[in-house]
Amino acid sequence: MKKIIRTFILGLCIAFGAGAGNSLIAQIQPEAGFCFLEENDFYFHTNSYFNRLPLRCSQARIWRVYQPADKDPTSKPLFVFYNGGPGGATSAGLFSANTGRNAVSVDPQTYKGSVISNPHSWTRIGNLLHVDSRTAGFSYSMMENPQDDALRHAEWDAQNYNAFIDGADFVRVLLRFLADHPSIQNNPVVLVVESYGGIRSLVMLHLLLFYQDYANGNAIYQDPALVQEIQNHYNTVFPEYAGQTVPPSVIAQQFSHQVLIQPAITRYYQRLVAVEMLEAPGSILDDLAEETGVPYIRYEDQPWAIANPSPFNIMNNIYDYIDQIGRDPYIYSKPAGFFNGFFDAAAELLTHYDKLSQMTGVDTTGIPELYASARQQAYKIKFLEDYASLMSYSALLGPAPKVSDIQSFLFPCAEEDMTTVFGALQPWDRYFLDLNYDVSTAFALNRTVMESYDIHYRYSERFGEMFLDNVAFVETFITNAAYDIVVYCPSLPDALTYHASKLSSSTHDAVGPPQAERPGQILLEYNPGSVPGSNVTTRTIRFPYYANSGHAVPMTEPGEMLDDVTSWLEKTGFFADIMMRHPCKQRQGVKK
Amino acid sequence: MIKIGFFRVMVATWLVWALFFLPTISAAEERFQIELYGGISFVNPKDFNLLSKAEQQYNDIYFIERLRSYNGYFVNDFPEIREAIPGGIRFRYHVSEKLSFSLAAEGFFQKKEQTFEGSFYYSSTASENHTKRYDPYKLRLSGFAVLGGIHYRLPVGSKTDIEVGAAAGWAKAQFDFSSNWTYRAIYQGTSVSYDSVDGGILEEDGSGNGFMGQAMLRLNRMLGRRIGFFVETAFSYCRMKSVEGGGREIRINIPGETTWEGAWGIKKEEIHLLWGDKEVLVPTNYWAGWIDSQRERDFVLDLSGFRLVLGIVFRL
Repeated sequence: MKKIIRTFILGLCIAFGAGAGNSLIAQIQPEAGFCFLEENDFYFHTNSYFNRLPLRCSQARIWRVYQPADKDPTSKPLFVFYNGGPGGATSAGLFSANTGRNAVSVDPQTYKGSVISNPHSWTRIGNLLHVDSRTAGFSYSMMENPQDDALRHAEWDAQNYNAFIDGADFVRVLLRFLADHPSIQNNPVVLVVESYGGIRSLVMLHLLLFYQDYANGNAIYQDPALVQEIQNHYNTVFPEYAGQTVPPSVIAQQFSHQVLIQPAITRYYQRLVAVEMLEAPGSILDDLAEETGVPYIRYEDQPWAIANPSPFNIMNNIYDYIDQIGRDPYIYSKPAGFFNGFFDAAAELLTHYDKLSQMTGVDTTGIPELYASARQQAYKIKFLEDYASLMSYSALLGPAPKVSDIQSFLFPCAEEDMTTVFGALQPWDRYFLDLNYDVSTAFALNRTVMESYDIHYRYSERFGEMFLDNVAFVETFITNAAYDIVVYCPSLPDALTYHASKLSSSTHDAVGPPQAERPGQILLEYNPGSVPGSNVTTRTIRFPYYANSGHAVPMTEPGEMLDDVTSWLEKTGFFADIMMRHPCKQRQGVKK
Repeated sequence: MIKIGFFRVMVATWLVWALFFLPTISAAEERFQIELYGGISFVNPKDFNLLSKAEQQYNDIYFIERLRSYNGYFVNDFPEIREAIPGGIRFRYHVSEKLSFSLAAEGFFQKKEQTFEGSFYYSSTASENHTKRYDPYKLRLSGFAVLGGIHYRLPVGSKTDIEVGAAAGWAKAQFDFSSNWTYRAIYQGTSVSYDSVDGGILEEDGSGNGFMGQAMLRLNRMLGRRIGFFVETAFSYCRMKSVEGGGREIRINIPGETTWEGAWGIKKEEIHLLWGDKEVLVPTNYWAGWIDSQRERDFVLDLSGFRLVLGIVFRL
């Protein structure tokens, strides 16, 4: 009898343990699906409350894919990946370009993509979360009566598309993901971003580090509900500060590192310095002229040149030249269409459900929100008819789209495969968009622009200042790719010097750090007291040079970049004291 | 010396006695008097009128100055309350021919309402048009006071006399303001168009009470034994400091409304713009979510000012 009871109790213990273990195991399995974002009220202001611009963003389902680390995921950091655009799909970008377990390989002859196992997967060093932004990639938004053209047209405005709500969306997705995964909720988070994603990451980090300013009237963007959500997260992760304002130095124990791939940061000054460098004698444009035999005619020598051109006028002249010689501005060592061709091939592949399942590691037929039956209120594009004539107004980081780009945008992929499995969508909805031009147009022309709010990422100085505030607390890695004209990173060190309220100097060190295979650093000297909550005087940004890469470094030098990031994380003490810098782990008695 | 001082005291005592007691009321039944009066008062409740001044400044900053390179105009002339219509009833008791006491109940009211719009535009390869409209912008001020007074009459003719007086009492006042506005921005480029409308209704109200004092000078003319009229000018002093009220805001693109209650104060807004910073003092009773240093000072509802009234006298 005693033996039976002992066996029964032992069985019960095993069952409970297995249940708990199952829950833990469930949290560390690959996942793909949507994070729901509800309607939310926020506003912009210039310190006059009743003259503020109140806005309410629409509901959205944000696509995200989680891949746990190869080993011991509960003790590994979370790397959060996203691309830019704005309106660019991470799924066709970083997710497909040699960061996850699988990658898309594009045949250089046929431009067809295939799924391959990725030997340079970042799962080697951590858990991965890839996120598509609002109405890009697989993400879609929702509204009442999406069939009403006028109402749907009105959705493409500042309430859904501006740099701050864009960053806030990602903060919400990240915090809700962490809350749903308590086994890694306290773990360090590293943002890994590309292109316009640089703007998104600096907004995200500023929201996270200086969160109270976004509810007490100090910041131009006010989002009290988001601030409460951030506080709730900190109440869990930093219980010693529960209910109090957590200082940025403590917050940076979790949000401690960022990896920026050819980022937009201080866009106007980056462009200003870039065109000065590119228009200077002996620049890479003269090298291209010698290589191709087609001379580059500088802006001022063009017969149609205007007096006092903006940096964007001059850059358009450069883009025209690159196009003339048949090269790709995103990677000018390659023929035109190389960069976008990868996105197109990845998009074509991902809109086959079996390939999507293979890439994500998840049976995507089990994702209910993918089905047409769950998308009666979904929308993803503005117009039904061809509107090629309307696309010259764009906030895209790169060259403005061409008519042919627009035509392929409306129906980028046949989607018959998805339709067969998930159902036919409404005409204003799509399963996948690798680059949503409606998003970039909404960023460029919306109510905040018409009412002169200083929040346009292309022109406003505030983003560079926010970035420098963040860097005082967050270790930063920025790629310097050789062949990228769109984000010409050699301009970045000098561009940062324009923020004289923060910095006394910004210097490019092309030699350091010692023994680096791909050297490069940016040395920053801060004005004392220029960053709230910090006594920082100097900071170093890792700035490695990638001799064979353009705008998407993981696409062309994935192993090199992963090695550099791993080495940098080690040198900044990330792995060695991952537990030390996160007191919660100590309090929980987690062994190193 | 002592004799001169004693003499002076005696003369003064006699004068006081004569002032109050020597002239007797001719008939006991005419001691009571009712007066009805109305006219115009000139007030300048500066903190209340800051509502309009602040609105003008906002339009200067956000509209006129921001679009200064555009064509167009905006009559940025918001109404203020500088006068009110008083009216009252006063009960008078004559203790003597010249001296009387009174109890008055009076009120005042003023409303200003205006509908106007302005637009700015430019037109070249693209066109842009910004229009702001108020339909309407309203201010309203009213109050009520109960005052006890003392009056002294000096005959200047058989039926005419000049009177001086003073009164003091308690007053209660309330105000409200409403702004129903829209702002439309239209952009038409060669290949893209944009059209958006913003707008809302902002309503706030407040009330307070406090001491009121008056000093009066008037000319009386009797038309008969029991009826007459007067013309009175007076200066009223009344400053209310604890003013509280509610508010409501509706914005057209945000469903629902926001309501609040709060104490009125003067807020200093340091408005950060691309082309520089501007400072605006605005009265408000909405303080949620803002830092304390923005409260510049208390809000004072100042109803002081001169007034001119005509009245009818009925002697009982």
